[in-house]
Amino acid sequence: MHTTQTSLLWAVRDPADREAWISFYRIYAPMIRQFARRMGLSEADSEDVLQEVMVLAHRSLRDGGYDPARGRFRNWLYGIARNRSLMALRARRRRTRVQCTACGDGPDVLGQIEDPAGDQAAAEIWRQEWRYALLGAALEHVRAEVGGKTFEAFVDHAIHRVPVETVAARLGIAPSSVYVYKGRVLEAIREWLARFEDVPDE
Amino acid sequence: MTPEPDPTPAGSADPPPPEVHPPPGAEQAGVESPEDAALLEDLRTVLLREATTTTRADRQTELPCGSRFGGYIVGRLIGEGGMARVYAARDPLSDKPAALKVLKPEYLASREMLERFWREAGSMARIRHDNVVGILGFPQEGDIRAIAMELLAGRSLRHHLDAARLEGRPMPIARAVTWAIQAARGLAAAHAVGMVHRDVKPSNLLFDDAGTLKVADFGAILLMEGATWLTGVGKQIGTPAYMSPEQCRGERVTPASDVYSLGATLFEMVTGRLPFEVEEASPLAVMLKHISEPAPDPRTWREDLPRWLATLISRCLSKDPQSRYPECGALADALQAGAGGVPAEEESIASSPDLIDTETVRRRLAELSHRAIICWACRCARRVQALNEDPRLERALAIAESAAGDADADGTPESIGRMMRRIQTLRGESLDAAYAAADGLASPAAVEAAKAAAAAASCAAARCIEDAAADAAFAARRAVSALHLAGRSVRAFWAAARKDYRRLREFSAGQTGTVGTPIPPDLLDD
Repeated sequence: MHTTQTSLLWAVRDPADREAWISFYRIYAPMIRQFARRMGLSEADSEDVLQEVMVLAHRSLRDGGYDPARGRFRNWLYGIARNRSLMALRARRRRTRVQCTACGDGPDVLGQIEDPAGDQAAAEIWRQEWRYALLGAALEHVRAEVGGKTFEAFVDHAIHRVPVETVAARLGIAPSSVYVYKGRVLEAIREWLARFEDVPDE
Repeated sequence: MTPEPDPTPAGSADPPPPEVHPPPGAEQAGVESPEDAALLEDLRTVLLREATTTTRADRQTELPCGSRFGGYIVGRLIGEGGMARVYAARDPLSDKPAALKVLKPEYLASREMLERFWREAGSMARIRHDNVVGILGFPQEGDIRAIAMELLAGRSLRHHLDAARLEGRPMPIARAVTWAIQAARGLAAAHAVGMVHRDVKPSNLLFDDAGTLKVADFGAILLMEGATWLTGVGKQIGTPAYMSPEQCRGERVTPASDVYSLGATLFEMVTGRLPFEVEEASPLAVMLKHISEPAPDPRTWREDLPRWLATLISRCLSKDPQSRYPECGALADALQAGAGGVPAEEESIASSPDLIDTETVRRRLAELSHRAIICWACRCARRVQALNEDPRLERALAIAESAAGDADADGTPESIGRMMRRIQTLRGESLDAAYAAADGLASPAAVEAAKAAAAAASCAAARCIEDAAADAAFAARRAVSALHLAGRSVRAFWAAARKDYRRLREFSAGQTGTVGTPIPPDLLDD
C-alpha cells in the first residue's frame, strides 16, 4: 500500500511491483479517461487515448522521464494526456475529411483547442478531473478504513442531505453520532488528499 | 471490517441535533464551513458519477447484478438520479432488454405521493407511440417498486448537442426539424391522454438504435417536487434551462408548458446555445429570465435559419401560454408543414472496411447477449493473436473465453460473483502483457494484436460493471490496426467478423457448445 504520491511514483518504476501498478492505474486512469471524453473524443477513442497515455507514462516513469524537481506530476501527466488527445482529435479530423467531403469547412475544433484560450479550457478540465479522480480514490480508501456504517451515515447525511434523524433511525445510532461520523470521514478524506496532493517534493 | 465504536455524545463538541427537519440543502447543524461545503459539493459529484459504474451493495434498494426482480434479470446500474436507480435488465422469457427504474424509498414515503405517482404511472402505460419510450410494466417486490421500460441502445439528444457544441458545428437544420417533429409527436400522444411531461429537455429525448427519437421520463418531475433537483448522474444539478415561465413561477402546467420546453430545446439544436444563458450557472437567474426577458431571435446565432422556423421557435417561447401552440400536436403539424421546404439531409457516409466506426459497432454489439459480445471480442482478438507470441496474452484470452462460457443466459449471483473476482486478475494480466509487448522489440503489429487481446479480456471482465460492447468494439478496432500493420487482409477479417456477428445474433440462449470455441488462425486468410 502506497501512502503518498511520491512513494507510489517511485514504486511504479519497478516492473515487478504489480501492486503499485494497479494502484497507479486505479488512481490515474479515471481522470485520463474523463479528460479525453470531455475533449470531445468518443468512448472508444478515449479508451485508446487512455491505453496510450498509460503505456507512455509507465515507460517514461520507469526510465526516469519524470523528474519531480522540474515540476508537478499533475502537469507532467497533463502534457501526455493533452498530446495524445490532440493526436486522436487530429486523426478523427482526417477520418471525417476523408469520409465527408460534402460537409464543407466547419469551425475548427482543433484550432479552438490549440489556441491559447481553448488550451486554458483544457487545462481547467484537467484540473477538475484531477480533483475528482483523487477524491474518488480518497473515498474508496476511506470507505474501507472507516467501515460501512460510518461511511453510510456520511453519504446519506452529508452527500444526499438526508435529515440527521432519518439517518440515525435507519442505522440505529444516536443523531449526534451522525455528526461525529461525518467529521471523521471528512477528516480522513482530507488527510488522504494531503498525502496525494501534488506538491513538488523536497 | 473495522469495528465501529459508538461515539459518545457526551463531552463531544457536536451541537445537539436540530428539533425539526431542515429543508433539503439547508445548512444542517451549522457545522459546514465554506471549505467543507466546497469539498462536499465535489464529493457529491464524484459519488454520483461513480454510481454509474460501481454498485454499493449495502444500499437498501440496490439490486445486485445477476439477481432477479419482478421476473427480470438485473444487469448493470446505468444511472442514478435523486429519486431512482436505473438498471439494465433482461426479460428471460422474451430475451428482450429492459430498463428498470427502481424508486428510492425516501421518495415514496408519503401515501399521497405514492398514490399520485401510480396514478400518473397508469396514464404513462396507456401511451403507446413510436416516439415515446414504452412502459413494459410496474414490477414490485416487497417494498421495492420499479418501472420497467424499453431499454434504448442509442444516446440522448444531450449527447448530440454536446458533441455539436464541442465540434463548433451547428446541427443541420433538416435534422433538428426531424427530431423536433418526432419529439412533438411523442409529446402529443401524451397530451392526447391528458398528460403533461413537465420536464422536456435534451437528456430526456433518447434515440433507439434505428435513430428514432423517443421521449422518456414522463411524470418523473412529480416526485422531484420538493425533493432535491438531481436530474441525473454526472449532470449539473437542476438547471431550469428549459422551464416554462409558468413552471418557474410555480404555477399550473399545461400542454403548452411542454411546447415551451420543446421550443427551448429546438432553439438549442439550431443555435448551439440556450435561449437564456447567464454568466454564472445560477438557477434563479435563469428562471428570472424565463419569466421576464423576451426570448432572443435565434437568427442572431444562426443566420441561415429559415424565417418560418425562427418565427415558430419564437411562438413556442412566448411568455403567455395562450400565444403558444396549444399542445405539441399543433406544433408537430406546423413543423411538418414548414419542413416541406427544407432540403433533406444528405445520406450518411458509406463505410469502408478499413475505417471502423467504433460507435456503430458498439451500438450493434449492444444488441447481443453478454455472452455473445464476449465471444465476438475474443474471436476478433484470436484472429490476430498469431501475430503475438506473448504467453500471458494467450492466458488472458483463454480466461476471457472461459468467462464467455460462464456468462450463460441467466447468470446466478454466484457465477457472476466468481466472474467479478476474476476481473482484477484479468485486467491486470492482459494490460501487463500489452505493455510488455509494447516495451519489447515486438513488431507494431504484435503490439496492436496484444491490445486487441487485452481489450477482449477486459470485455469479459467488464461484463457486469461496464460497457462490454465498447470493449469489444475496441478489440475489433485494434485487430484491424494489427492486420493493417502486418499487411494482412482486413477485408477478410471483417467479412468473418460480420459472419460471426450474424451467427451469434441468431444463437439463442440455452444452446451451448459452439460459442466459446476458438477459431483457427487460418481463418485469417481468404
